Amino acid sequence: MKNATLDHKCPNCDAILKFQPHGQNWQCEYCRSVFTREEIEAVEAKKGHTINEETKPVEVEKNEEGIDIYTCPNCGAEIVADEETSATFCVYCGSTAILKNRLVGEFNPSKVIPFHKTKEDAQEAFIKVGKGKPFLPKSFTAKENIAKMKGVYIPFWLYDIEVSSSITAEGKKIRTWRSGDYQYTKTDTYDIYRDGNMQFEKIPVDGSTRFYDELMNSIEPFDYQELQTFSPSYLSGFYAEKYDVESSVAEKDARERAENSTVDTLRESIHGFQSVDIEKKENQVSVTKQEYVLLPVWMLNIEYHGKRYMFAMNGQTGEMIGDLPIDKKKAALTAILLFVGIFLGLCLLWFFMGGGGR
Amino acid sequence: MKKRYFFFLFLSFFFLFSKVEAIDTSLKVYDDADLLTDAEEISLQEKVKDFINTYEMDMILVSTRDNDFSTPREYAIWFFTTYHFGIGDKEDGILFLIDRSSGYNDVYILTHGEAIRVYDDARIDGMLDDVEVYKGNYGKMYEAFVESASSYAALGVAPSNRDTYVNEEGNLSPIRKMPWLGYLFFSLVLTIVIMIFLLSKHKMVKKETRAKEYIVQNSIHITRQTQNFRHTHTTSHYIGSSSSSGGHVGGSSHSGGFGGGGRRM
Repeated sequence: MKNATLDHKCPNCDAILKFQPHGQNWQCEYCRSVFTREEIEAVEAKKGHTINEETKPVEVEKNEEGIDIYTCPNCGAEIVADEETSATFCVYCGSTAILKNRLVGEFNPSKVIPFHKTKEDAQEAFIKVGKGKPFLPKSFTAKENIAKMKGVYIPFWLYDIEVSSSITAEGKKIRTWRSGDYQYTKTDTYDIYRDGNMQFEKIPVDGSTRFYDELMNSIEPFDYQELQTFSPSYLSGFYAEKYDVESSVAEKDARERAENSTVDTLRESIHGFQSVDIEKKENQVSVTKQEYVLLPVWMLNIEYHGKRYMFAMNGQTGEMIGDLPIDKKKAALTAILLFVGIFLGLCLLWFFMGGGGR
Repeated sequence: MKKRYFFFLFLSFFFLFSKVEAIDTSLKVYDDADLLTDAEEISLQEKVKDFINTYEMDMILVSTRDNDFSTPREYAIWFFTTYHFGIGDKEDGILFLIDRSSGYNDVYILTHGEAIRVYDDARIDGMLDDVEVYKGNYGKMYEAFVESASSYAALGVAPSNRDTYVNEEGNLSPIRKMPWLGYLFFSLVLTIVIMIFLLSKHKMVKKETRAKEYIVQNSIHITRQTQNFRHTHTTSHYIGSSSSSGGHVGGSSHSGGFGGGGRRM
C-alpha cells in the first residue's frame, strides 16, 4: 500500500484547491470558487478527515533504493519524497501532495504563518534586489533563473526565554585641563554593577539543516500576530519541510541571542563614563516555552560559475535576502575607470584653480 | 595745527612746481657723481648695450652724491621707476648704483622682473665681491659689475629660483607643482573606499546574534545599579608656551617687486 496523501479538493468540481496568499483563502483552479478556512474545515469534517487528530502510522512503502513512495491524489502517479519533505508537487500533473504521515506526532506543527506574498511578488523582489548592483552578472536575473522560485514552509522552533544577568564593569571618567605649560589628565576609575532580568518571546531558530541559519536570520522578523493554528490546507500549492534539527540543539542559538541582548541592555544602562569595559558577566537562562511552527519563505537557488547562491524572501513581509555574485571583470574595469576618472578630475581641478602659478 | 597746515601746503607747492630732470634713457650710464672719465663712460655704454642685446634684459649704471632717500636701495628704486627702465612685460632689468652721498662707497645692485630670478642673493653677493676687488677704481668697479652680471646671465635662472616665477606684483612666487604622488595616492584610496562600498551591497546575509526584536514589552527589570569609586590617577605633560612669533626676517632682497642687495665698500 502506498502512502496516502492529503488533498483539498473543490467541493464543487473536485479539482485541487490551492491557498491564495493575497486573499488568504483557497481558490479552485478549475471553477474559480473561493473558500475560507472555516468552509474548508467544514467540508473536511463532513468527509471525516480530522486534520489535527493523531492518525495511525501508515505503512511506508519503500522502493528498491529505500526511498518513500507516495501516491498523487490527482493523477495517481507515484511521488518520491525525501525524508524531510512534508508537502511537494507531483512531477506529472503539478498538483500538490501533502504527505500526511510527515505531519503527525512530534512533526505536527502547532502553528503556521500562511504565505502573504505570491511567486510573482517574490520574482519582482528578486529583480529589485539585483538593481543598483553594478557588478551583478547580467544573466543572473534572467527569466529562466527566477522561474525556479519555490514557496516553502520552513520548520522553525520558537522559544520564550527568561534571562537573569549580572555584569561587573570598569568605568572611567576622564577630565583634562591646562594650567600654565602643562596639560593635566585626571582619570577616576569605578567598579560598576548591573543586575537585571528580561523576557523574550518567540525567538526563531530554523529547524532544517537544508537552509543555513544566517540566511533565515536575515529575513527576520516575522509578524507573529498572523500565526494561525496549523492546518495542512495552508500547505496546498507550496512545498513544506519537517524539522531535522532537534529542539535541544536549536535552543542554543536562541539562548545565546537572548543572553547577548540582556547584557547589551544592562550595558546601555551605564551612563556618564568615557569608557566602560565589561569584566565579568553571569547569566541564568531558562526556556519557558518552545513551539514548532512552519514559516513561509520563497526560496531560489541559482548556480553561477560552479557556486551555489541561495536567496530567501520572507513569505509574509517580502524581505528578500541573499548574497549576490560579483562579475570580476566588471568590478576590475569599474575600479580602473574610477581610479583614472578621479585622478584626471583632480588634475583638471588643479589646472582650473591656477595650478602652475602662471 | 596751523604749522602743520602750512607745512603740507608748502610741500604740495614744492612738488607741484618741481620737475624731475629728463634723461636720455638710451644711454644706460648715468655718472651724476662724476666718478668716471668720458672714455670709461663710453666703454661702459658699449658693454651695457652688448649685455642688453645678448640677454634682453635692461642694465643701468648709476652714481650719485645726492641721495635724499634714506637708503641707496630707495634711490635705486626711484631711479629705475621714474625713468621707466626695464624691458618686456615684466620690465626686466638690473641697476648698479654707487652712492657717494655719505662720503663712503655705498654700492647697491637692484633687480626687477626676471632679473630677480637670475640674480639671487648668492649671485648678488658674488657680484659685490667682484666689484669690491676694485674698490676705489670706479671704472673697474663698473666694469667688474658688467662682466660678473654677464657671466651669471649666461647661466640663466639661479638654481635657488628654478621653482619660482615673477608674479603680477613683481614678486617671486613659488611655482605650484602638481602633486602627482599625492593625487595618485588619494585616487587610489578613494577608489578602494568606493569599491568596498559597492561590493558590500552584494553581501546581505549576516548572522544574527541578538534578539532585541523579541524582548517582551515592560519585561526589562534592572534590579541593581551601583558604582563604587575605585581610585583616581592624574598625569601631566609639558606642552610649552604658545608658539613664539619667530620674528620676521626683513625681505629686503625681495619686496615690493624689486630684488637686490648692497654693501658699503
